[in-house]
Amino acid sequence: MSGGKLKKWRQLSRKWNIPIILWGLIALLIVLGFVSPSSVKPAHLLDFTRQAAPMILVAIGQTIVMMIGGLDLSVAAVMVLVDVAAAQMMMNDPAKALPVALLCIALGAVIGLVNGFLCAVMHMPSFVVTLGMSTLLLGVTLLYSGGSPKGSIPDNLRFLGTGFAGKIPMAAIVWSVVAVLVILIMKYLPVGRYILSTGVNPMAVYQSGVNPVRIQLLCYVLCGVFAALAGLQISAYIGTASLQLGEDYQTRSIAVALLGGAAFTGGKGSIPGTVLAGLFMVVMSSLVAVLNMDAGDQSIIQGVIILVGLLLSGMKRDD
Amino acid sequence: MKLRAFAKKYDNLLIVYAILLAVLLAGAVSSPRFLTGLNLGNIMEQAVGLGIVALGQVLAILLAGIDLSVGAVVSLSTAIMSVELLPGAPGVALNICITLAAGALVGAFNGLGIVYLRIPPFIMTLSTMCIVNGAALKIRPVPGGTIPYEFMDLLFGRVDIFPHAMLLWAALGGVLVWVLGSRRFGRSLYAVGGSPTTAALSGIPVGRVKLQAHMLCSVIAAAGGVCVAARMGSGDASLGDLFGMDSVTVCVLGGVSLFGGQGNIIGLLASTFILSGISNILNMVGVSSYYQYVCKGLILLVTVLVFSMKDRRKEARA
Repeated sequence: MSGGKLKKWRQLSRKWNIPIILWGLIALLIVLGFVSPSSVKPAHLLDFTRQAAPMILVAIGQTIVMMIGGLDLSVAAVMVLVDVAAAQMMMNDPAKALPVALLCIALGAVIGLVNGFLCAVMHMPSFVVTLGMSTLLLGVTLLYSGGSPKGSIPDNLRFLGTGFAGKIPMAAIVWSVVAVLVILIMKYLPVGRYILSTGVNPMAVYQSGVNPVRIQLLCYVLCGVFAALAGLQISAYIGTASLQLGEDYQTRSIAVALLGGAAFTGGKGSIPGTVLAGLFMVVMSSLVAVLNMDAGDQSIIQGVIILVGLLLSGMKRDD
Repeated sequence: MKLRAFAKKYDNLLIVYAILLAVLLAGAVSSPRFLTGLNLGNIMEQAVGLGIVALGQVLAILLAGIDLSVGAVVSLSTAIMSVELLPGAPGVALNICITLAAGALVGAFNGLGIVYLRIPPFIMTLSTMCIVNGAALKIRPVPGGTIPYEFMDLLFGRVDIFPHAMLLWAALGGVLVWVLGSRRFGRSLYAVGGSPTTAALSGIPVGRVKLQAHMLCSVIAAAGGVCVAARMGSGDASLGDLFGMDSVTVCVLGGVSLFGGQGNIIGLLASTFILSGISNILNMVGVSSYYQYVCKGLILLVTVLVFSMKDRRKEARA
């Protein structure tokens, strides 16, 4: 592609407010189509939307926290804790699905509230607070499960992870509903504006009569809630408790938020961008898997693609 | 009065050494074997790899950055060290040279991306982490290989209770204290970390300092990896996984500010021993090792809470 054309594309996407990562996603799908034509059939593409569910949910939370200039390194730990807790408490009993799910979401909210209190009220750096919280939660999860988690998820909750409505996976419907809700809130409710402005200048928010500390608390709580939702979504898909599933989600949720347009400095971020970046991540994993490479090559390619994706999204904004 | 001024200036250090003292006391109370020379030597042996890696990490953090790829560099180092290229001592020397050169290469890659492409350090080093982990897996797809016994003995034989590697760590720390405290590079590092704009306006080559710091960071991490390899006796591409976040924890506990430009190497010694001391105590008492995560998390949160409350009181007074 020539430089002029690229510029025109950029202008076009800016005009329609299209996240740049969309072009990355399309490019990746085209490459995937060449490498393995069967992977871009409609049924397979719909499967991507299912696989992406936990990543999109957790990355939406991460984006919200990054909008206020924070960071949450405890989301993966929350996901694992919720997965283990859900399986052990539900014990395959359909009647317990709803109350336990609500309890898990409340758990995520409480963890978010503690994170938020330490960051916003006590002015501790979010990196350290959430890193400590993540280690703490890992210990709690291990102690709670005794190192070998038991239990399983009843079918009514599993439907949300593995079921289909017509041809559409339920998991895709779940994240779409959540994403649309968050996009609408960010766009049309004042609180959306407050979140972004708190990231740019908390003092200005304070002077316009809104308490920025409350906004920050809200963001951390939301992030905890979304991490819990992502944990439930994974439980619903795999049906059992696992101590290993969270590792991938921690750093990748941050990478997804960045690819979607967020920045460490706060005040930036786009939920549609994050959703597309979540899909980008899933398609990338699939591409790497299709190429039939060994674990070493997969890891290398992943690093390169994240870097290239980042450069393409014009990440020259902050240090 | 002089004592008070000293205490004020080095309050973070006093706090972290007080915690170390508390950990040692707790150990002495909970098990009579804790304060024996043999056990203290074991703690040092366990701590030394992480301690050296943290000495690299602190350079990135002083720049207000971070290096998440140090763990992957440790893995890569153990992988390279476990491949026998030449028999005998020249072979080990060659392996060490290749390992350190690989570290320098990784650091240069990080530095170039951060300085010239202006990619935030977090995400730049995250990508590097994936790439370097991949390279380590290419060399050692499954754990294996052997490190010559003589080399293991060279690093982990003991002088009295001190493993030789501990002396290496202390020497490296001493050199870094000198470089950071009274060499041009060290002073520039603090200046750039405090405020890149001010540093640039005062004529400091900001880009070059960042590049050098990241290269040094990765080379030190590679040296840490050599020690880890010598302790483990074989190569494993997942050995370093925990070193990335743990080294950040060590720096933060040691009183180094993640906002850059503030902190001291001296604290790292204590914070490294706090972490390995806790897991040692839990092992000795026979408590489930899962508690060590809970302890680590709580100590990190409480210490930083104390740091930040103290800073706010200072601000309020000023």
